[in-house]
Amino acid sequence: MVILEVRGLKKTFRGLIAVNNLNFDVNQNEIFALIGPNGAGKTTVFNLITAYLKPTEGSIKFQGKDITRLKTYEVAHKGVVRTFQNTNVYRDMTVLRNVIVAHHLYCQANDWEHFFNNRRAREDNREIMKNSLEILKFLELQAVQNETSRNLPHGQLRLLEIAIGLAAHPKLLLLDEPFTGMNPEETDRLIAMIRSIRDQGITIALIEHDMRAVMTLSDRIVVVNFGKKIAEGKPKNIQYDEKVIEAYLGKPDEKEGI
Amino acid sequence: MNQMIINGLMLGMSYALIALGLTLIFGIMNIVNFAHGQMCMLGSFIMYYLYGVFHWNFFITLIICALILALVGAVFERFFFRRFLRFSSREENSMLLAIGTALLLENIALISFGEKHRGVPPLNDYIFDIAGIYIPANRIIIFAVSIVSIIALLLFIQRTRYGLAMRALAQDKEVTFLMGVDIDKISMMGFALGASLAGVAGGLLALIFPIFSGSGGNLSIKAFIMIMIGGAGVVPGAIVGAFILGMVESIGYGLIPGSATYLFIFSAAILLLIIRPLGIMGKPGY
Amino acid sequence: MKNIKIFINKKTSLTTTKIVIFVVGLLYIIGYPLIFRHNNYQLNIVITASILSIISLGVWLTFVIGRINIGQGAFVLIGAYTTAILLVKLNLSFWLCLPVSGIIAGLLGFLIGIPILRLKGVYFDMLTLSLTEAVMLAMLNLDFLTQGSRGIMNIPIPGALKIGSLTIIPAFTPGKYLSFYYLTVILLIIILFAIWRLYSSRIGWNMQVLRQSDTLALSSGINIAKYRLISYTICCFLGGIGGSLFAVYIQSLFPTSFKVIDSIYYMLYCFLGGLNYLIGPILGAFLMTFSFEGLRFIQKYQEGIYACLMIIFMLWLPNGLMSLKLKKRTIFKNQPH
Repeated sequence: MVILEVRGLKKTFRGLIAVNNLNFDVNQNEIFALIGPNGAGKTTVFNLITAYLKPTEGSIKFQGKDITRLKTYEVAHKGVVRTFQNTNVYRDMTVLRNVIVAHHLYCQANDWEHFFNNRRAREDNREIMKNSLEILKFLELQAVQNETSRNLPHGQLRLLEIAIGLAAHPKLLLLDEPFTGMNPEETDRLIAMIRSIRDQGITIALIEHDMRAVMTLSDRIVVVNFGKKIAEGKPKNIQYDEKVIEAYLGKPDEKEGI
Repeated sequence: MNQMIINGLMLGMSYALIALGLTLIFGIMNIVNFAHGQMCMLGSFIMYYLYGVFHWNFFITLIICALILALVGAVFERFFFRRFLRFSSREENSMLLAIGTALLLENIALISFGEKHRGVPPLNDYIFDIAGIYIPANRIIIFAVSIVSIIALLLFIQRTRYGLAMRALAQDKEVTFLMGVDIDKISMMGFALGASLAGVAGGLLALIFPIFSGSGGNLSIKAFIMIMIGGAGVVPGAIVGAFILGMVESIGYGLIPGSATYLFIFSAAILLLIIRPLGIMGKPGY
Repeated sequence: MKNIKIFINKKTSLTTTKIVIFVVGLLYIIGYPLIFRHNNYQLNIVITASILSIISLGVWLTFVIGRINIGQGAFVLIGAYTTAILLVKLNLSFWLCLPVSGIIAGLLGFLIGIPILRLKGVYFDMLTLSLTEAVMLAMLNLDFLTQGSRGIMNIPIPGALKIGSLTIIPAFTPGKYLSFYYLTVILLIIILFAIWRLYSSRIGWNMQVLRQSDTLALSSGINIAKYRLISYTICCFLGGIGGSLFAVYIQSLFPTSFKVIDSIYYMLYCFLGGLNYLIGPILGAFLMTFSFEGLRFIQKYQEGIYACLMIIFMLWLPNGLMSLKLKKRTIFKNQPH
């Protein structure tokens, strides 16, 4: 069943076409990957889906409903949450606090109830606490939970970002290059974690350059270059697709004998 | 009306000096120099004493204004801001420091010079009469010196290595550092340069505005409005903002009773910022 | 259990702090007036400090969302004039004027907040600076309402608060400050409690998050415009309340009663006490007011002193007074905060 439909998506920045007539679907509960050489427009696509940018043309439908015109925080409310390419955490807060405050959408009580701290608000707080600790345990961050996030090593920062994303209880989680800067061991652990997240019912869409991770994890891959889709399919088909190889490595040059 | 427009243009040019100084400091160090108006005021006082009381040459005094204020700017950067920017956990604190320096200057002036309003004799009594518009020679000199200073500044920023270093620093501090530029030295230079511009502007404006120790506050606010509406951190923004303010001020004072002019200016500025949140020529990233 | 303790706002979870605050509070409300009941001079200091605390608490709230608000003076002025005009021209009861002034200041803050909160950092700061000037000019020029530069004099002190024939609060006696003392102190405590509630709740978290990263907050589904506006509106509301209190306390009002320098002082009190702490502004306001009175003889150089103080302070303790306390605390207790 399709959870996300992208149709005719186009984004121009004053003449530069970043995304050009892109069409793809993401199916429920799959791990979907969007790959392509640098500058292909992948992060722009994520920005467009989550309304950090407005599309020049095209439509995006989530669970059958049109989300193209929604504001950024409204998209998150619908269940689409993303992480960022450049590490984005609340630097002055502890790891635990980072995850707690990201639970904004998880609350049952509204602002007034939280102000007066009524029973529902207190219940919320307890739930949030429990849930935060669970998320941290799942991502193996519980050892550093009281550390100021600024002090964390890069690999754990990336995990913290995912924790923040999970706190919002998304239905679709968009991960922007989560494996960046990770060594093989960390990569393997994260692969297992992402699989685990999917198994809990969350659909995952991934932008990634680490090909091993992409090929191991993904159910389906879409390849873009210069904002256009150039290939789509299962990992083993994509690996040997001519156009994809050309996009990443270039055409064989007869003169040079490559 | 034409008189007001000409007045506005002339005023705008001097205001541009002030705005440029402020935008320079802001661009390089990412600090709003709250003391900018007070620095102008100091320049005016230097002009008062050296030119007004001791009858030194006007232009030499201007140069002295520039030098003394450059020293003040360098001291501020070296002893106040540099130390501070390393230790604070919140960026807001640097604004308080800037405010503190402004109060410091104002009070040193108050203690040293008292509250009296003073003036200096004009450079030249001649008044040109061009097609019914009166242009005092005084103002022409101010206009001319301002233009020359601005052009000199622009040339410095565009053509010299130090200017290049400053522009680089304004764009990306870390990379500039990695390129081997001594950012401490360039920062100090930038601050000193911005301050000296304020000093020169103050010295020039001493010819036409009353000189008193409390004049800094108002000038600072005017400077802020200029770079807000023109765009902070960018040179053309400062110039555009300065001219707009000069014009609106002149025309406004001519048409509406005194205090209402600035009420209008504030309201208009807010409206402008609603439409263009970064000012007319402002670039995102500041 | 330990986790929930950490979870509750760490500034107030430690029971020793709670006890200290409680005791100090008790001494303050009951003890102080018992000693100084007839000493108007001493009462005056505390009354002024309390009103300043209320105003500064508002500014503190805007610091929480990461903005520098140099325009609080504008809203103090608005609140003061609202009360003065309603009292003098319409003869309304002060007990009505007080909330109305706060609400009008808050409303105006809300209206102007909508456009200006969208501005990036420095633009916002500089614009708020202009606000105080602008409102002063407005008060100066709206002659028919505010009597312009002549100001409003002989503002009456609060009368009784009656419901039917039941007197809840007796009329204030001229010349006796005790009633003002109770008024301001009780208001301060109520407001402090309310802001504490706000800060500890989800609303407070969202505000703190705004200071650090807009983009991240958005992706967690937080409507950043809404929470910015809440913070700013409440700030202006508190300014209005403070202004209203000043109006009936000082009993005369001019467009220049609250200037840009006052806006700067309100910020200073926050810095002094420590921006990261809820009682920071109150600490700062009280400290400055008391020390200023103590150093009366150098009043001529007041601003100069303040300036040097600010600079020295910022160089030595960039994170405010309370950071001293925190240093001691973390050395003392080896448990994670």
